[in-house]
Amino acid sequence: MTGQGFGKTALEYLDASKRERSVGNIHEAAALMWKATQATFAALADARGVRYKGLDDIDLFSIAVTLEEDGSVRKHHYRSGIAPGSLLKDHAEMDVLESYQLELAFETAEHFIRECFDGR
Amino acid sequence: MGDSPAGRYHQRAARHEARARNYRRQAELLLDRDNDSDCAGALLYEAAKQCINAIANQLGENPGTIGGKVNALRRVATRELDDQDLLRNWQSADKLHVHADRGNLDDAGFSVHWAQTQAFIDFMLSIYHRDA
Repeated sequence: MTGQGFGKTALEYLDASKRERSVGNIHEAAALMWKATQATFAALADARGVRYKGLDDIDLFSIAVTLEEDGSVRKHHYRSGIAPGSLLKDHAEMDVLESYQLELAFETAEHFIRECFDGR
Repeated sequence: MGDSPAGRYHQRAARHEARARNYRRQAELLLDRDNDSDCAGALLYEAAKQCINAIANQLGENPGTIGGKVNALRRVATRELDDQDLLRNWQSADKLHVHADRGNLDDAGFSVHWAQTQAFIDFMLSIYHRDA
């Protein structure tokens, strides 16, 4: 699998998520932020030649561990980027988060994604 | 410090830190012995929450509600040079909490968020002991 095969870019998904959130479509925004997270890991993997089977949490974890191996970031840096998007996926599917959890998840997912693309 | 407000916060912080270690130990036992991810995840989430309480008390705060704990964690992350990893890994604990209620994680997904919650607890305990 490659990042290109995943469709839109991470930043396009991120922008789409923010648009949906701004008009109150929280579940759609949450689903799009998970896609943005997946696309971010796919793009990172492609850029570094890391192979992966899928884009579930465990696949993102494997990508993250490989990316951290060279020591250019501290341990858990990429691994920590999975949870906010994954939690938003849970909300999109099961409506499980309170407003303060949603706020933190959207904020930290966006911060991680932009950080991976040099603050764009 | 004794019975002063600072002394009471210090004592509360120590109790929360002890609970965090105990809940984590019990969570690990449950997972090893019974392979019960729902209960183990719920306990590890509690351990993570107790870590926030411990550091908040150490800083003279009493966060109360879960929303208050998240705000306390935000302040801890800011104090740790804007440590975003800390805020993100806390959300793996939230994933375990959702799983305890909904049973939605498969073994692989559970292992990811179990590992990241453990990383969160390790780091929070290291902050607590550094500042104790």
